[in-house]
Amino acid sequence: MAYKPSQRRSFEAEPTEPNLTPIMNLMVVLIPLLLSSAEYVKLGAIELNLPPVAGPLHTDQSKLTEGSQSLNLTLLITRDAFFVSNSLPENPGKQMAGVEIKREKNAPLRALQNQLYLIKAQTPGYYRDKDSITIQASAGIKYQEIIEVIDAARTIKTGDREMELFPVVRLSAGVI
Amino acid sequence: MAFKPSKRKKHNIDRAQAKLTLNSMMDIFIIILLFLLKTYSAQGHLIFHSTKLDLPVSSVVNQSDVGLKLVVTQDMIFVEKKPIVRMQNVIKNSDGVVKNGIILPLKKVLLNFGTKSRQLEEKYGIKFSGDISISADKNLDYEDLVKIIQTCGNADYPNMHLSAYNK
Repeated sequence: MAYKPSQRRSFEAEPTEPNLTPIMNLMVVLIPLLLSSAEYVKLGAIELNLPPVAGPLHTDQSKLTEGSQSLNLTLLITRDAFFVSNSLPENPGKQMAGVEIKREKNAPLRALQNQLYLIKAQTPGYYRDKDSITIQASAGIKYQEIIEVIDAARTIKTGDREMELFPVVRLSAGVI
Repeated sequence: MAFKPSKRKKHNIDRAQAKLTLNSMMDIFIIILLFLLKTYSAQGHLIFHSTKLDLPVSSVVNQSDVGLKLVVTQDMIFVEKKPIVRMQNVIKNSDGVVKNGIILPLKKVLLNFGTKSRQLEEKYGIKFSGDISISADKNLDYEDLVKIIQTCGNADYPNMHLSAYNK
């Protein structure tokens, strides 16, 4: 005897819509979660130059012609102090050639900036490297400190306006 | 006199059977999400917090996405997202890793990239500028930073850009 045809098979499936409510719930939770775990920040980049490979250590500045003279501004960073040196002719009473600046906790970079500002003011416009500074540090100085010093050496704020100091930064390969 | 109620209008709607259609809402959600992500990416960078890489803070506003990407975390050096060398070996100046202040595995990779870029320059005229963008952790020691810079300079990448968070 043949079986009676199944009634289930003849059942026509009604068009059903997918239930999107759980997906929506998931989205509502996920989006704020992702946004809170991420942070939108602006990134900047400091252009860095390598110091000249070779050159005379001591040059007689008086024999050089205009345009061939160089400032050779160097900043050494140690744990306790900054040492600023340059090739400007000795200026009595101003202590320009080599200056030690103690690093203070409260205003660590202002004194350095003031010294660099003085040097900038004294540097004739025809110096080849009038916008350059070479930075060298002792072992153990952190990258953040170097960046802060680079920032301080690039610009100085005088009142409301910002003045350019030495925007061309070179990082010396040597470690003190 | 009041008008006779219209026969066309359905006055007896079964409100219990009204369904909330979420498809259009989903579409709106997706469009808003994409729009927000696009807008944010134009204004800044999406950064995920990491304890191994915390960039220093600086006041510079120059563009940071320039050239080859070199990332220096506390654990590892990456070039274009590929791990190259462990920082532990760099710090210790391990044999076969650091020689005369040059990080050998990094130099090898950079030279490879340099060679490929020069080939592209010859074939298609895409200029090789020697630009490299260095994103390093703020706690990196100066002596290790110098090794990285020396290596980049030594491997035909003299134009370095130090990435930093903008103040």
